[in-house]
Amino acid sequence: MRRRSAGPDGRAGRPVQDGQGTFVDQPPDSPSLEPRIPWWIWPAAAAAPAAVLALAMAAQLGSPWRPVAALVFLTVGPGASLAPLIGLRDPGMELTLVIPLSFALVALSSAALFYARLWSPDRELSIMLGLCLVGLALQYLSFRRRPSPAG
Amino acid sequence: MIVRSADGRGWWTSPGGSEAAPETPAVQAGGSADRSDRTEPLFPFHSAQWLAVSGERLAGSGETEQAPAPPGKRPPRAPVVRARRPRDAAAVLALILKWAPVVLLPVAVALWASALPKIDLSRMNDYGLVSVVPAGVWAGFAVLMVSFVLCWWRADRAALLLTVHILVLIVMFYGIPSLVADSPRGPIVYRHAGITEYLTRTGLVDTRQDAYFSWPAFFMFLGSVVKIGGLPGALTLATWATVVVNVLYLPPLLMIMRALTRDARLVWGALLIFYVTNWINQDYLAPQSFTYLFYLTVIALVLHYLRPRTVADLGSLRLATWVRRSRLTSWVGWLLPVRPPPAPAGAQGTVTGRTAALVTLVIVVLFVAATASHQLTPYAIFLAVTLLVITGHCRVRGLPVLLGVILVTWTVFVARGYIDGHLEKVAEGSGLGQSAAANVTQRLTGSEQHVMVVRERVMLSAWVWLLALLGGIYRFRTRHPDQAAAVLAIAPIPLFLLPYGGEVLLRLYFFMLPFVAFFAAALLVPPRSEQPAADGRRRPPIVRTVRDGIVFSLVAGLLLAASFLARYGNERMDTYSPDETAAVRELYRIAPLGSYLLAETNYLPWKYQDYEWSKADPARRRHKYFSLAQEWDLEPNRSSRDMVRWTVQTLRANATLERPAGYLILTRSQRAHEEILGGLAPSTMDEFEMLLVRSDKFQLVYSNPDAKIYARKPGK
Repeated sequence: MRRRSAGPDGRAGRPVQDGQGTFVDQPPDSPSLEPRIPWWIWPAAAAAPAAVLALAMAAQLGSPWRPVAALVFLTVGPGASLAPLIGLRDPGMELTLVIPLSFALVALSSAALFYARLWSPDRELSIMLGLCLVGLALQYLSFRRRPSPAG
Repeated sequence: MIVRSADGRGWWTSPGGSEAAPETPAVQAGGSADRSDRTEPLFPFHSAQWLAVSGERLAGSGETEQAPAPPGKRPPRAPVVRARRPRDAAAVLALILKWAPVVLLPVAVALWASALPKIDLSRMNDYGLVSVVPAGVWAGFAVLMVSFVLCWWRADRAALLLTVHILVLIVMFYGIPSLVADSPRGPIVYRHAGITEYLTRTGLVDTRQDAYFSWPAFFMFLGSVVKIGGLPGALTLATWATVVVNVLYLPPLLMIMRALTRDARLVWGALLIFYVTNWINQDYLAPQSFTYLFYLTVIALVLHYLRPRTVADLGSLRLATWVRRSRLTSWVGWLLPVRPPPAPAGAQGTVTGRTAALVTLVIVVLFVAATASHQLTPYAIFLAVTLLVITGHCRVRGLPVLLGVILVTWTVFVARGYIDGHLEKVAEGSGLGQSAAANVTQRLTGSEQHVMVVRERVMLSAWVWLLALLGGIYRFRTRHPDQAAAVLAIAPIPLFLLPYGGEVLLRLYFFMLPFVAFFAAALLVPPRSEQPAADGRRRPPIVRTVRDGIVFSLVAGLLLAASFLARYGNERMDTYSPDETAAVRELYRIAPLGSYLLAETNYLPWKYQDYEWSKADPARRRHKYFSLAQEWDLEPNRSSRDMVRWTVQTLRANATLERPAGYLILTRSQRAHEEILGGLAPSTMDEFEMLLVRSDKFQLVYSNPDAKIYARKPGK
């Protein structure tokens, strides 16, 4: 038997005992650990560092602009453009996934280029920028398809 | 009787009555009725308070919520009740404690930061950094622990503040070497920079050079970051890598803990225990730290999104059915549930269809990246996922097969060069006896102080595991559904059989640590916060709260202090002075390509450039690196005179092949390495150096207080 319980602030769920005496965690009414983030955060997180990096490279800016922009883009960009497409419904989990996914994509694309003996920084950057663009386009399409609140 | 005030802000006790006391006239607007008739506020900062209320609810004695209004009829508006502001001493104390972390946290940082400039690394002994850390650093840690515990008491409402505390702890604990040393610590990170430099310079993967080239994706990632960012080299990223890596671990760790429990204090307690017991130094700029992030993320994804929903999801792997029929003991049945284990409250719940497929795809992408980057981590992921499937905590039953195929494919087709060339070594290094010897007994050597440090590391690990074991027993006895955590805590154990040399036990500790920390913290989290109704006795909440906080802060503080000694116990040889790095730079400047480079040991900041050596291909002939200690180990009976002869002949042989001869570099950290670990005796090396100079075949070409470079004279 499950019973509902919540804290005084109506947020924190807590374990209760089911019919067999086993403690069963109950979901909270409003999870306190989950950040609420606006829809535009991920597209902005992918697009902004990409734009800054492109500008820094076009303007031939040196340290610290280019290294910082490159680090931020390669750490956040690919993941931020693709993670929201998975449909995790949990901003916390999306946040968790962005950086590992970016790292994995950069590592795998670099490895593919190395083994094909095609690796160059520009080529790698082009692939990552392309991936970001695809992700952002897909995010835009899925946003367009989402039913409006009016139905 | 404890009830909730009508405005939902406060909780109240009603002496003996069961009515909704806040709605009585005596309470409204701070009425003037006799004090004995009034309700008294409890401590609003303390979450155990509402747990006590909920406990009464569980016991069925205190339903305080209003009955729902009939359909179509608006519920009656509750009278406006203004809770009286708590003014008694306990409430004032609660208010002070609530805001104390806001003051204590800056104080902790200030104490720590003001003490850092007093650290003199040149005065370190074999206890490492702990021997030169001033009291201010310890005071900073103590204040931080107290501040953390004050937040931890009300963890369900202080997530942001606790996050800040963890971040500050990461900087204070892991960032000290970055702040007090002039260069990245340890020789391995320099090798990683050298491999990255080689890959970006040549664009080639040569598996004959090094084992690293059979798992090169991390270095390729690093190369891409370095070149796209226009950085001078990977070493630029190494200084703060440990702090950054530990910060990156925080989100997946938080998600894992949330998947294991909804008790916010347990979540944050486990995170703190993780960070104060992670002493093993595997979080620098290295494939291990990189792929550990994937390991944590994969587990977080599986625990949150791929849990079984129905009995059918458990499928044919319902070992629990077999266990039940075989009448095995109850704890086995606990581990292998006959029905889907209850979903953790923190998890969003399992997903199906497209989302489940995409989550699985992400897991595969992360796993492939881990497989291409590191030898050990993919096995840890594979073992964890496989055990979760077998025990019914992951419903994608084909996932272990898929991961296994990827792992075997990589090993057979890509890493074959290394496996073929080192098959004998791999076979020798496998097995329990070999691993135990390499990881424990062989490490208990060296200087007296170093042996103390090693013993302290063993003791610390054993204590952490013991705490976890006791915590696990407690959770089992209180019937918490922690099977997934238990499975994940034991999943890495088979790694001990892999041929990974003397570090596999450290890696084992690392992979188990999140779940070990979870159970260890479970022992320290007050039991009544989860079982409010089980304990019939009543004690004043403030006493219990203070006692729990003191116990938790003391244990966490002791673990932190022990971890500090364990983590930075080799700092005398791990830290490089500016003179040493300057000497290595000078070595690369004066040594022409193709020359041999000798050192007493490999424990110096070199190999960050000119990594490759090929006798056959002049285009890939940069430098060949030698270690005298390794050569000496091959024939330990050789005298210093013999070793001088070997050195002269080796370099001369190189010179006759129309290459430059070679250089010998001696530095402080190499000498420290041999002294600490009990290698070549200082007197032996002094004698070797004296004979080398007397041989008249070497010339001192560079010298500073911490390093010397000898060059082989030409023509002799």
